[in-house]
Amino acid sequence: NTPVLKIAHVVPPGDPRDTAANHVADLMRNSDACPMDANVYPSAQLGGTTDLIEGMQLGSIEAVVLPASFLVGFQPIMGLMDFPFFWPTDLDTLLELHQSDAMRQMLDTTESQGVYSMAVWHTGYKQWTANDPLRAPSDYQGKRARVMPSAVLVKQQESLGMTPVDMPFPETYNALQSGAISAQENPITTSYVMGFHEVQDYLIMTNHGNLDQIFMVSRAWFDGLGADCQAELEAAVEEGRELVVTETLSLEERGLEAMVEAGIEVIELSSGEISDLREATLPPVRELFLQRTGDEGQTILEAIESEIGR
Amino acid sequence: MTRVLGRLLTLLDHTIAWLAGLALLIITVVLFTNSMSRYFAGIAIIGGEELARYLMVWMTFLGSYLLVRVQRHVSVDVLARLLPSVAVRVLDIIVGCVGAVVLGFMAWIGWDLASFIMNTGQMMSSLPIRRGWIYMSVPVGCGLMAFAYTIQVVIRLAGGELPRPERFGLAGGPDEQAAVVASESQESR
Amino acid sequence: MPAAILLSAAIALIILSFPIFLALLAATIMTFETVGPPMPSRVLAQRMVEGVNVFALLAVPLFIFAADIIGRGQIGRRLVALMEALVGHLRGGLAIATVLACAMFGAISGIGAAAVVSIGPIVYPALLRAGYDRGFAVGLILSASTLAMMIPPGVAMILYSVQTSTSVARVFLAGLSSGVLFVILISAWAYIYAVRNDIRSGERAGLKEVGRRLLGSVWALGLPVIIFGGIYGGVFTPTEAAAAACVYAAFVETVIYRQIKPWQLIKISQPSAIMIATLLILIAAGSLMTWYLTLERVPAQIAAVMSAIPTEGVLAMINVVFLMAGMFIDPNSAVIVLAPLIQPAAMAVGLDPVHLGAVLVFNLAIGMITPPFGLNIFIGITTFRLPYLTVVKSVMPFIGLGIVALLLITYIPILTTWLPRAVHG
Ligand code: NA
Ligand code: NA
Repeated sequence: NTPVLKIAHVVPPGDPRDTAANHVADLMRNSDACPMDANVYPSAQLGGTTDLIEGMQLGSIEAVVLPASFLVGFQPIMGLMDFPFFWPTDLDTLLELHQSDAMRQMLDTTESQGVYSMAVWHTGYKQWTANDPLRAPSDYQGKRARVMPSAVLVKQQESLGMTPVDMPFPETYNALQSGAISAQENPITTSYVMGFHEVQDYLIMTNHGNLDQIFMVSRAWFDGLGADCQAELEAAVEEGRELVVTETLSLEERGLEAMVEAGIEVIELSSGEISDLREATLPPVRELFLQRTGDEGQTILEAIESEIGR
Repeated sequence: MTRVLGRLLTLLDHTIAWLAGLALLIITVVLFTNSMSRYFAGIAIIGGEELARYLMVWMTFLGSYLLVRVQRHVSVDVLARLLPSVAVRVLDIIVGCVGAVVLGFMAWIGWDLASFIMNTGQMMSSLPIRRGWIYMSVPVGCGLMAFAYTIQVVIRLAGGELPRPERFGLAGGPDEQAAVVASESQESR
Repeated sequence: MPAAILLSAAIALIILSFPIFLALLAATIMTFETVGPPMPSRVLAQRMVEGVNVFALLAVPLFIFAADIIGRGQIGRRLVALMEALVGHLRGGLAIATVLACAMFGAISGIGAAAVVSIGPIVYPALLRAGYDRGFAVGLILSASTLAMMIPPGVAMILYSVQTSTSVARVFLAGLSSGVLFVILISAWAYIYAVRNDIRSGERAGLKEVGRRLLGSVWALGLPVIIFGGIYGGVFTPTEAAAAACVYAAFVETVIYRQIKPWQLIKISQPSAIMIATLLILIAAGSLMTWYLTLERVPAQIAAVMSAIPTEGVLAMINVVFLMAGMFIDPNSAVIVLAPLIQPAAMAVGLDPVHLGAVLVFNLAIGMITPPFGLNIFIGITTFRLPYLTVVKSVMPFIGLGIVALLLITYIPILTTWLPRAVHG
């Protein structure tokens, strides 16, 4: 009886996380120890965002790759992943942190929802794009920006005096074009693929956060696998984790080049400007997070802070 | 006895129609206010978008109940137009039985789903409302539809006629309805 | 195999006159429960809800609500008066004014039947008085009314965009292009008709009269300005624009034209909400079926088969399927059920999704006036109190015109794709 593995995500084929998900599916299909009937369903074919995670709880989907932000409705502690100016901006340090015990402690909080968060897949640092060169916190004042429905991200924008607009992702391009919003935050790869550079003048290299993906599986399904199957899957997801980084970096390089060619101006910030932005955003976000998540949130936050050395 | 039941049913129908219409009005006001306050005052109502979606889902299932009551769901009624009225009556009974079973089943698994999601304690992304409430529209709406199909079977078995769409300002279809309105407004001129 | 069972059960029930949503639900549930895959049944309820829990879909109820408000008011009458003053003195002027009034009305309304009842009763007697034949007049009104589907905003275009994740703004512009093409074709036909039958033109309206009528319809003309000015000026997103259209239409009809009393809006909302549910419940049931077929990889299999056929052949097949669907069911239901099944195949042979949207919507517009069950035919029967066969005969030349336009749109993609590309890159 071959186990079925449906991996669902919401981006089009060809995105780094789709490539990596297909790699995982290939490995599992061709596995000697534990061959699976593995398929990837891209482009929200099996559901939008939140309902994919529910699908795992209901038993209709085995695996999902989604930004951690979408887990916040299930587990507020995952909001930590959205913290601004908090995560290491050195890629190797960040990837190492992702493998740490403190990080595992945070990922394990989704167990209460029947979700086993297997790994963090890094898909790039977030940068702002805007029609103005946003440098100082005061530059952000009064700007309307698209926000993902996450309390932490809303707070981050509000603490800069912005007006966060929770519009659906597919409407973002037209809203930027018409001026309904004038800024948005995403990794370079996403901004490039969505063509945001066509309707924005500046790319501001803030590296202020991550939109990292969680590769998660249904806990009930995972526990039903044999020990060798579990080990095979762990290994495949680990290979996917490495692949997604190389794919992201190469797409990022191509994207940045194309965006510059298309006439977008890249703004590099000084470390002083970065720390001004951090001072304006991180403390209020941290306070909100602790209010919402209580002692458990504080324990995990402090564990990760000490791991980072902050 | 039948008269009292008939009155109760009418009361139910009108209540549902009010709720569905109210949902539509709230959706309109929320989205309009949201865009105006954002553009002119720089204030965005976080959660307005989500609330509008939830109301749309509820409107779908509530409106569907009324569509069953007045037989106005979209269908290819080529066959029904050709059949004699006895056969149409049999067809109504068959459709009613299948509808009652299928939607009764849907209501039951919808209840299973809604209570499951309620228990996970999951919240809407931007409003302090449990996400389970969106799924509660299935047991309520499909339960009502199963009920309406059962009534249809009973009425048709007893040889009665089903309620007319005019009761809800729906003449035949959206277009006949518009035609009626057009002739009304011509008269009033 | 499960897919074959599901589809044949659904088709059998639909032929038996079952409501389509019930046919799709019954067939999907039956197949799911008997041949699997093994999953808890509550997933079915989740997929139904998530099918309608879509932000962009909100534009559909709102534009229908707006159309309902407009349909009960004064806006149609004022547009006709204006267009008559502008082009009434040309050869075939009154007929062309009718087409243009329908086109303008289309820029306000999103459904292809509303103009028949809003504009038809006003222009029909005038056309007969001017010497146009009854059949021509009816055919002209019924076919020009379908322009509302192509000229944005259009409910069918919104549904297509949602069902296939295509940019609404681009599909709108492609629809606008095909609408303009159809306006030109019908107007040219009206001109030829007027010349051949030697129909007198009206008198040229004085500048003062034009000005007066322009002023009289300024509030009506304001609606498209607000919608598109608002979207492109950054006041609202396309979805919010639909809400703005409702509020504006309600304002104009209650406060300016005083055709509707404010409390009546509450009453209008009920039939609107109920009619909207016909589409939304179909989307719920349809997306459950599509989800199941996707699990069974059916769209991918259709795509694999289609990819062996040349693009022209695929387009011809799509046209035949949608023209036939348009004859039997309303256009929006056809988009909901068929677009998700056909789109992966169309993408596999390299069709532009924006072009495909224009082609599909145009097909369905023709379906509105094609016998046996074109919607506008039945509205024509009620509005003009004419027998079925008379109305069917009257639309025949216009179906011919529609097919000419469809062939142009289908096989010369640039006709519909250049505008969205020029605007959006
Ligand atoms: Na329109
Ligand atoms: Na039709």
